[in-house]
Amino acid sequence: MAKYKKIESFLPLTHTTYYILLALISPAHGYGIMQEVKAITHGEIALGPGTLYGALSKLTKQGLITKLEEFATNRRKYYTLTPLGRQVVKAEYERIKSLVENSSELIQGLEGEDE
Amino acid sequence: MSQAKKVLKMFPVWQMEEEEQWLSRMAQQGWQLTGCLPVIPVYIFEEQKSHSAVFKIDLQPELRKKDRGEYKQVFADSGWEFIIKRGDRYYFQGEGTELMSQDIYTDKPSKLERYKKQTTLLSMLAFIFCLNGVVHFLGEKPPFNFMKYIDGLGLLITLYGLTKLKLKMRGIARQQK
Repeated sequence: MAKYKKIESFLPLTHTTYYILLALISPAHGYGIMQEVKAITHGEIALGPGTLYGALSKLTKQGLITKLEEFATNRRKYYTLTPLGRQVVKAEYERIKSLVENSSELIQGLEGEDE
Repeated sequence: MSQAKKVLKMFPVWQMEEEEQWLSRMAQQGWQLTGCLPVIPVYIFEEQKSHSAVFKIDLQPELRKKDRGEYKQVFADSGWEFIIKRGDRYYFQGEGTELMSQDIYTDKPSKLERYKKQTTLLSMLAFIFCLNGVVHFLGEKPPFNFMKYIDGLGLLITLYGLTKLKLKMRGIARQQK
């Protein structure tokens, strides 16, 4: 089902979802994702286990990530992006980028006013 | 041999935070949660040295048996030790100052999701009370003609709980992060 869903229908992503997807560009398990998200955000975001596990099962159900059964070491399961997941995270990046680009000139004017 | 005691105490689904705090207070008083009885709300505690611990209860109605190991591992990797499972509720315990200030849900959407799960469960219960109420009202026969009052009371309690959850969700929605 998820395959036929439009990429745009997943956007915008929440902060947490966006960072988790970024962390899964190369395969990682739950603990690895927490570490990676912490590193990407320079310590700003420490994912709680409830939030992380909930996101992993939801994203798997949506078909954006997939569990790599063959890489499982004991109870830690590895995940990675599906082709759809790759497209979604790229589309979200483009969306945010165009927001910033389109608004940067106006925002600079605003900052000038404040000084 | 350390002493053990059983405590009967009921926490409805909208009082999960109160339940967490109660378990922490028990640990501080030297009673460590070690088990529970099936179906009835009885907790089993063992006497231990008084210690400060935080408890978190996670509601997981859809967690499959084969995913439980991985689920507990994700919590263990954050420092939360799995203690018991009671129905759909999973009890975790954390120690140390770092965990004291942390939550298992760290963003607004997932915090709200947690309350939505509880709301779904309670709504189903409210629906059952409604349905039963109608059936009992139409088909009342002595000595069971008091049944509709029980349904009515059940419905009132579940509606009260739903209101409580709604207020909690509104509180979260208003928070900064």
